Amino acid sequence: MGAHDEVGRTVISTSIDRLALGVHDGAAFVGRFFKEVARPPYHLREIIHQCYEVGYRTLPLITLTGLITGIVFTKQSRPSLAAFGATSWLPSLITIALIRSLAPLITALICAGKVGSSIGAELGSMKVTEQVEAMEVSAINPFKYLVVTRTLATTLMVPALTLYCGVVGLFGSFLNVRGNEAASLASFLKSGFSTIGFLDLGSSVVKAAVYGFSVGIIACYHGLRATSGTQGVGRAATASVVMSMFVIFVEEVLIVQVNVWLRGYGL
Amino acid sequence: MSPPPQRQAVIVGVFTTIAIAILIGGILTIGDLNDTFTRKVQVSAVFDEVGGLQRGDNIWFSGVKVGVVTELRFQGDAQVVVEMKVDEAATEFIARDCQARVSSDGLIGSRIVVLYGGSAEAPRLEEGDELEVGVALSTDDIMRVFQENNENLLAITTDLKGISGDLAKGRGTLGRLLEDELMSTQVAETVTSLSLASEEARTMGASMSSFAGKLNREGTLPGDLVNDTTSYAALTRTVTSLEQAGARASTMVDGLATAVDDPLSPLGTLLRDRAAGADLKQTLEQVNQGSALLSEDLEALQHTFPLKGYFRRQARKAEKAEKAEKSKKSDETP
Repeated sequence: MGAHDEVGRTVISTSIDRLALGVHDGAAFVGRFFKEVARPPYHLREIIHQCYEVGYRTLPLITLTGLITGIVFTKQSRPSLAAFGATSWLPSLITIALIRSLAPLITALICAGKVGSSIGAELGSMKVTEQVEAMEVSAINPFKYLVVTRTLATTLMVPALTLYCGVVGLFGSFLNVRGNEAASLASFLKSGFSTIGFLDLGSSVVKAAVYGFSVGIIACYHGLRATSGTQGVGRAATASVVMSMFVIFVEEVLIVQVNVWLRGYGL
Repeated sequence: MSPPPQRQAVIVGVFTTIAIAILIGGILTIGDLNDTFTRKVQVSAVFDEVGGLQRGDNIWFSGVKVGVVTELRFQGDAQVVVEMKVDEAATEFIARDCQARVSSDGLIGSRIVVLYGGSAEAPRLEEGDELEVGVALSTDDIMRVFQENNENLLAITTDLKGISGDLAKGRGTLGRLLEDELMSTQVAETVTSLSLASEEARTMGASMSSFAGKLNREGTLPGDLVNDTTSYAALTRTVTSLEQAGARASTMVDGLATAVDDPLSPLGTLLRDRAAGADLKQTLEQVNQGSALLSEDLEALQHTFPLKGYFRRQARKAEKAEKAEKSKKSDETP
């Protein structure tokens, strides 16, 4: 749909009209997802396949990124704490940073780059090659088969990858702390986990699920809106990544505010 | 190339299971460290000032974390009620009359509530108890002590500055020592003299050591005294005998003194009674006169018969013996 009314005139301005229509289309797309997700058929095999693609295939990248993040963040934080003679606080600092923010954010951004672009390009190429229309002709609901399965897979797998990233990141941090302070793993974990609560862990998982949903739904949205042949496929993949990352950061700000609000109630 | 759907399902299942295990492990670890799954007792304390204490801060008893702060609220005249949850297992060791104060778990650490004191006879902490509040050393107090220390330090450095100034200007004994060349020369000479004296003392010590070595040689009196146990025992016995003799002499002298002091004793009478002395003198004169008369009588008796012959024979024997002695001496002389 273009940025014009029924007779082709601009309502406010071209860009504002396009943004408003994009928000409307996006909201309708999300609304349709929640309508379709509860209705059978559930395409369980396709969901598992997408979980495999999103979760298992991203695992090596998450492992490497998480480990490096843990090591580098610890290494960079050490001088600041050492200035106060507080290097014993490193495990607490790293655990808070990783569990509350870094692990979900890094995982979501990597998934946005790898999975989002993949989904955008895949659905985009299906769209421009009219495979989506072919599915409709074959009495298969393409939204159900393509969008719901992929979005569910990202929504489920990003939290799992986040937990995994947190563990690997803490292990990387422990390697650095162990190399400098000769601390044991037990004392490292005890020191680290004593400063976080259920709210931190719970919000981290919920946050990751929200990020995963955003990555999946945005990638599917841009993929199914691809036009103009192979160029459109490329644009869909790029738009998926850019929009996913933007939305992830916006959601991060909002969720942190909610967290602070909940913390004020002693949670 | 993707693996078959069956294998994908297994991999996704394992992956999801591991993620759930990590989540459960995290929940249990956090629950364990925060004592979420242990039974707790709710107590409170009313503070005038809590110094930044927050909900979730720890409660320590004897340096051990026994609970957390659950709520802070104002009450009455700007006082702060701090609600705390203390582990039920720890209340067995915490007396109801213990005190609570706000402290810190390090110089820049988090705020904590410290429970301390309490008598052994008092009942144990129970649900709903309100704890007494102890005096806490706030950061302001610490800074005040630091400020006093700074002032003291300033006074000390000011004094040191004056002393060093006097030293530099040659005032005072130390200043003159540093600045006065004559005094420094005298000090150097004194040190030289001390050095010589110590050298002589060392030499004397060596001589004393040599002398002591000689004294310790076998066969000498000191050596025997030091080394020969027989001589030492004999000497000990002699000294003991001397002491006993001295004691007896002392006793005798004491007896004599007593006798002298007693005018009725013979010696006292002799020494103190003038009449008895005069009588004794007269008696002695009479004895002398008697003995003179007796000598004249005996002289006369020698010239009377029958004793006259005897004394003549005795005189001849003595004359013969004298002559024999003289002739013997003349024969021996060359």
